[in-house]
Amino acid sequence: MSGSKPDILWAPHHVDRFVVGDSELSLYHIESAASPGSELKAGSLRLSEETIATLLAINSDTPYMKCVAWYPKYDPECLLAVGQANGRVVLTSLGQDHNSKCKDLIGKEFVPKHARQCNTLAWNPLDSNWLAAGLDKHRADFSVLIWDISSKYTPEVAVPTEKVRLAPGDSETCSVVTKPLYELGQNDACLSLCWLPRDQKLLLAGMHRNLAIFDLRNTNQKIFVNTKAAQGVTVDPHFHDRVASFFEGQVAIWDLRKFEKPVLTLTEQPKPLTKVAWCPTRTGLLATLTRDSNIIRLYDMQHTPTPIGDETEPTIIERSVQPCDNYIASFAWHPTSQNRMVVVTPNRSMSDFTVFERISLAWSPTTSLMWACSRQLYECTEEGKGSSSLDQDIATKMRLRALSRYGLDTEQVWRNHMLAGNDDPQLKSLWYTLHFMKQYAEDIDQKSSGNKGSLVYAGIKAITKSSVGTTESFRHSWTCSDRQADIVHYSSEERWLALQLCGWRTKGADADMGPFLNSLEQEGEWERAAAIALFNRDIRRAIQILNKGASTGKGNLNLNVVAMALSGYTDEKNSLWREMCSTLRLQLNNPYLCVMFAFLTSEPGLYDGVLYENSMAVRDRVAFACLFLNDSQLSRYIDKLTNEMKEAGNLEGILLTGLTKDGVDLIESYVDRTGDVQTASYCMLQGSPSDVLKDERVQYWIESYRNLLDAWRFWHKRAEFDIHRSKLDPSSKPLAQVFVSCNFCGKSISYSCSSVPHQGRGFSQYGVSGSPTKSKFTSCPGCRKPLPRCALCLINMGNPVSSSPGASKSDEKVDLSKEKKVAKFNNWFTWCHNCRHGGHAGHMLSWFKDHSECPVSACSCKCMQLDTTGNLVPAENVQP
Amino acid sequence: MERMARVTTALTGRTMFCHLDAPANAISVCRDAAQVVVAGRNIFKIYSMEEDHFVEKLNLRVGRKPSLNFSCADVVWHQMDDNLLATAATNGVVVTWNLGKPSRNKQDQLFTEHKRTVNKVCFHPTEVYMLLSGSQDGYMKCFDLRKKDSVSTFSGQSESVRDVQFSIRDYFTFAATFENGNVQLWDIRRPDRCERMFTAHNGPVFCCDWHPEDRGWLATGGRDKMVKVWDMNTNRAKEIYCVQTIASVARVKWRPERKYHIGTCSMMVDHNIYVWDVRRPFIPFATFEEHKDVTTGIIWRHMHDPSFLLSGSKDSTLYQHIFRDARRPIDRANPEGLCYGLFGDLAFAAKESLISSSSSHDSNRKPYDRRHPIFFLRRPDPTEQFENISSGLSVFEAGGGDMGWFVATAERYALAGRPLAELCDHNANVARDLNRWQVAQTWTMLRIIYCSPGTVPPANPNHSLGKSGTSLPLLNSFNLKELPSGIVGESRLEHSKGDSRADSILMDPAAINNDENEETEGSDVPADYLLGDVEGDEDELYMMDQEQPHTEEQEYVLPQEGFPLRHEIMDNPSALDHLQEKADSPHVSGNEAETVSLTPVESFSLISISHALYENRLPSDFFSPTVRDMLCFYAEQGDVQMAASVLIVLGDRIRKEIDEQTQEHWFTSYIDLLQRFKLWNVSNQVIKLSTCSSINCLNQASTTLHVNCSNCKRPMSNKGWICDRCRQCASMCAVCHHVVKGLFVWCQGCCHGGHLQHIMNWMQNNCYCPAGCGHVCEYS
Repeated sequence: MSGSKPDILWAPHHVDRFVVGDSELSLYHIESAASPGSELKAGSLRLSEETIATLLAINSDTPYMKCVAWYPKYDPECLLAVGQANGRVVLTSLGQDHNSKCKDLIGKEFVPKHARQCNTLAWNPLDSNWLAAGLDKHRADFSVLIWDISSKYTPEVAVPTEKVRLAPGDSETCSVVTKPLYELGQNDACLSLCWLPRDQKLLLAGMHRNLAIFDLRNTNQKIFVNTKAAQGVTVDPHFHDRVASFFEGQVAIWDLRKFEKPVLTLTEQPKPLTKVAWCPTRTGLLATLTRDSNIIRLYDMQHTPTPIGDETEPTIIERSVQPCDNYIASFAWHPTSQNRMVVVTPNRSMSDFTVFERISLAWSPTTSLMWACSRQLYECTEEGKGSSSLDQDIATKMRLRALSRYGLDTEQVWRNHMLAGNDDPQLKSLWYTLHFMKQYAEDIDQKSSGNKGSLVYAGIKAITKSSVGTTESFRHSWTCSDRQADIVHYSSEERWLALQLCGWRTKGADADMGPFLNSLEQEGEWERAAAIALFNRDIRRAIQILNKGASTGKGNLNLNVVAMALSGYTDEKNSLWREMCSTLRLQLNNPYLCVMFAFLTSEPGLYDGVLYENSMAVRDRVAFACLFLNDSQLSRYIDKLTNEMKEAGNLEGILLTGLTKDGVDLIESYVDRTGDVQTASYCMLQGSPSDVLKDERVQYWIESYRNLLDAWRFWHKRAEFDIHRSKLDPSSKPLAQVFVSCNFCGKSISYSCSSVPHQGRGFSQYGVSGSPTKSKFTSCPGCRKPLPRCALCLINMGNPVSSSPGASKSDEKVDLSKEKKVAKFNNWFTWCHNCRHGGHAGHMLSWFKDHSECPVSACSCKCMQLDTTGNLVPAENVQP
Repeated sequence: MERMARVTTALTGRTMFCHLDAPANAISVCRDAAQVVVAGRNIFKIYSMEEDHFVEKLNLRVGRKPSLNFSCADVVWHQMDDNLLATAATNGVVVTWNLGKPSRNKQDQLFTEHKRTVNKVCFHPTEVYMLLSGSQDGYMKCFDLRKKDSVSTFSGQSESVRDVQFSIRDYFTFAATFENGNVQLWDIRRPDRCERMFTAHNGPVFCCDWHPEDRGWLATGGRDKMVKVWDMNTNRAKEIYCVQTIASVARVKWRPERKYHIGTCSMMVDHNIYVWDVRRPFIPFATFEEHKDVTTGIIWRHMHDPSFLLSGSKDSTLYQHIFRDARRPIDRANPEGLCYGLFGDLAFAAKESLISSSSSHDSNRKPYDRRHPIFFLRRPDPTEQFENISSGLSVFEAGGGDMGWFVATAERYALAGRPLAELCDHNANVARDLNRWQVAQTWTMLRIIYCSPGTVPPANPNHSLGKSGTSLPLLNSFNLKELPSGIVGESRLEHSKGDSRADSILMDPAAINNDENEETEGSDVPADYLLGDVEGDEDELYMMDQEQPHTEEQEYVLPQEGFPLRHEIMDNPSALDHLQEKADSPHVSGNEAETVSLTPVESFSLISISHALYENRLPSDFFSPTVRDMLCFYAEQGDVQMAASVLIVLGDRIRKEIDEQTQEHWFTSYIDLLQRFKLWNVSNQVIKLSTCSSINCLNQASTTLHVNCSNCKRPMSNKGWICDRCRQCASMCAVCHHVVKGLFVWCQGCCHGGHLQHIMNWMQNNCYCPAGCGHVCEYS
């Protein structure tokens, strides 16, 4: 210690004391401050907001101090070894409570034969009588001396007494030891020392240009490696084979088991390093300090296991802390308090602080927040309310819908909106549309071999486009009415189909609206039923419906009034009725009532009041347009409406666009608006014209939805989705994973992978009495050699395939009763990816119930414990 | 086709033979069944068959130094022309012989077209001049005897031809068999490619024969020890019968006039000729056992006479076998079968007549159990010539021989992982719970023998001379030495409490001795009772305390009364009381009247001797021979479980005493038994813990799976879940999409898999593969 640079040392066993030494040694007591703002007692220093230090004692007995080491045992308490510039090592003490043992030791001096600077001191941590001192080079002397502090003064050594006299200050010296226990490293310089915790007789020394391990059991032997990085050797207290040393600005990390070269070197600092220290409370944390710097660099070395070999460098996270503004002279980790260190500046101002651990933050898919810091894990929970906004969130909705098997009903497609919660009119419209499309596509497929089936899924827009030129116009009178016929309506095969898709026509029946209207009546949609009846020129029926609604409904008298108004319909252009209706209809709040009068009062061919009534369902507007608009009007109207729908992302527009590219555009804006990839995925899968599914947006939605399900740990739901998807879209079938190869021929033993699974025969020979050539399923399908054996039952593994190999296509035929199981799960192949030993799944399960090691002799692989995710249960199973 | 004339005069004769000069390779008969030609490497002769002997008619092997052309691999006598023969020479030459030649050398034509040995020659059944040969060089050649060279050559695609046979039905067709197991059908007019090919055998097909009755059946025999009958009528050869023999099949010949009979002889090992009924491929219909060496050629003497068979053999004999002299193995076959079931049941199958007759006078036996099917009953077939044997199956249930104890013991025994003493105690407790007192006792003894030395020496001072040798040192292991002498009653109470204590049977008398001794401390009568009990024999005292009671029981070393007494103590506390009374009586008498036979010194000397025996002056393996004998005893008694378990628990302490073979035998027997009970875990544990290397490696052989990456199709390295070539993570769980680092379960059908638990959970409620491949994993 040159005097200008103070060093700092924590007492190894008294957690509240430390020593600062430059020209003198000062013992401080550290305590927590009563309150941050309160006055300090006299003589105490503030180290941090919480702690203050009190000076307990000062020892200035030993001049020329170069290094200090604190006695490693609990008792005596304040025994320190001081290395001096002349090579002497003096035992000294701070404090009062000297017991007898201590008294004997204090003042003892250990004197080398030739005086030169003492660079370093190290107490043996186990045999605390041993003190190693590292000295500068002398050509006739050793540089590493190990002293036994319990050895007595040896009077027979007369010569050194003269040298003792050279130091005039030590007049009262009574105990001078001149004979070291061991002398090592002749004609060399020792820069740093540390005892290896592996064995109490191993000493690691940083010599001049090499690192050496001295074995005191056999002092002739040493292991050494040439390196410049010989300063400040220090052993990782948590990993006894890891040593750090430095030279100039570079830190080298060594593994003593592979001592030939450093395991890694840390990035070089521009300024020379002055101190390197492992954190005693945390593994793999190394603190370094450079000269003239106010920051301490921390290197966090973590080993992450990789699947291929263990020969990987540790990952290092580098960061730095700045405890104070001044340059730092030295620092010291607190021996027990977590991540705490004290730094001292050249002018002896100190500061006590704790290095914060890095914080890692994670957001769970179920919107709870967690973070980890040092050894704590914090979970953030939301207080009280706010659940309503969470319930509104599409993610929550999708979760619930996923749980209720939304989208998976492929037979009664319309039911999916019930599964979705039956609260979204757009979804309802969407799934009804898809339901009708599926139904009619099947119908058309059955009826004719034409390609109209795909036309159904292409939406009304495409349907009406194709109808141009075939439209006939009809003039019809009101049915059941005596009024004149002057309403023009149009009809064609395609328009008929469009009306079917809209739900206005049911299949089979010609123009009979009865069933449809009845179903509407049952659902209580009186106004809609009346309007549709009216649009189908059945004004009487409309009036009946309204009457019925008024009587059976909630007694809505309004409907009676409307019925009355309807009954007064007149054809006359300038009648009072017309005038009144066109003005009063704007006051009706039900859109269907409104459009009824708009229809009755409008000029033939100009139905804007109906067509642009936005609160009316798209389905009905389109159907209306199909009935009453001519081709050019219709196509203009449909185009306009389609664009509107696409803009708005309104799912009702699927009726128009179908599952075409337009439909994808529409869904895209819907997803942009809502984020509902679930509906988008299921909807796009439903139609399954493969060109739409190939659209990368669709694939992206599907992948997003699958990832979402995985993130929620809805693994089974995701698997169900995958199965559903591969049924509708065979191109999405996943690739095979790993496959087991035959030990003999090296080919896959799977029935699916092998392109030539059987050599023609095999199964044809079943049933031949006594024929041993029948293919056993425990033999390789390729070469018929036996398959690997189960480690437990020692029987060859293998699963039979079903007797009809071609049956996998027609999965409806598969009889799924328990008895028909050919390949029971318990007989499946199982192996450990680490040790590759395998067996039947059932046997392995039962073995690992009460064993942890691999069943195979002499294999100590802990197969079952390698996976942590394997024990996780899918979230949908946990929830009620 | 001109039908051969029926046998006009029935052939007569008897089983006869003649010695040839050299081993025969092949024989052939002439059409009228009067002469036979024998050909071999060093022989080529024609014999005529008389009533009761062979007469050598002609030696075709002429010349001073017969050329290799005479070394015949095969010979065939033309069935149309009695003068025409053909031989296949080992040097690749096909020779025809004309017996009508006036010269001595009857050699007619020489075809030297084959490069290697000709294995077979065959005349066309109806065409006079057509000869077919099949050679090792892979070619079949058709010769027209009117020409000098072959007419056409058929290539077997470089596979050696073993046999060629013209079809009987189809004029143009012949069959050829190959060394790679294939059979080819050729049209003689189309030499470019074969009409049909199929793999008939695993390994070479040595022979084939068309069924003589024009059924389109082809019989083939191969090295895989099988004779197969193929129906060639369909466009795909269909195997209709398969006979498994005990050796590779060299020749097959359909028996004339018998639809289902076929004669075979083998190429090695087996010298007999068998005639099989193909419908019953398990027992030969008839055997001819005359030959002393391998039979090389068999032929039925006449095409329409089923009772004469000619055979030539490597033992240089030519035989004529008569069917009535054939052995019928069925007559000697033992139709009784006996088998022990897993749970001690005994199944016994026998002829029904046997069962019914025996059950009449054996009342213990259950009547034939009709619930069991009669496995051996066959529907009678009028064409069959052998007797139907209907058998009955009786099952005898084991009386009290329930094997539950075996399973329970196997499952509950602790074999490793704890200190020896604990293991022994645990196992003793297990045995005791199952009421196997003897076994429990053995475990306790083992603990005493092998664990006591550590505790005895420090206890020695207590038993030093000064304390008048009160207690038996054996008691140390029971920790009774700590009992103060004043609480004797208490200790007795504990004994009478029964079985739950870790003490053994043995302890009771010893403890009583102890009590007795301590109570009588100071008085000079301690050994009175002791001597009375063991009849004053020191050796026996020692034996009784230390040896395994079973061994003693076996050897009758101990007086018999010792045993019932002890077991009574164990089972029945009242007996203990009785004993205590008895034990008390000398004590009382001792106190009142010191008239005792033994002096204190004598009594002490007794104890001290026995004491000395227990001291650790004994070598540690002092008891090993005894323990070894005990293990052997158990093994011989059928309780191999005990032997194997003790062997594992004691490990090195006893292993050197028993030779490796015995150990291995015990282990294999125990493992076999465990596997029969499907106690896989226990059996594997035994395998793991066994010290025999041959047992230990049982589960190491081919239990390692080799896994390939599905992406690059190449094998993955021995460790790890990632393919180190394409760096594609190969093992994602199909359910959770996470990497599987440990146990991976895999569906053989669709190559998907994942975490064991995940897939299991999924499969419990679903049937489709979770990866979405549409595979119904458990069903197809």
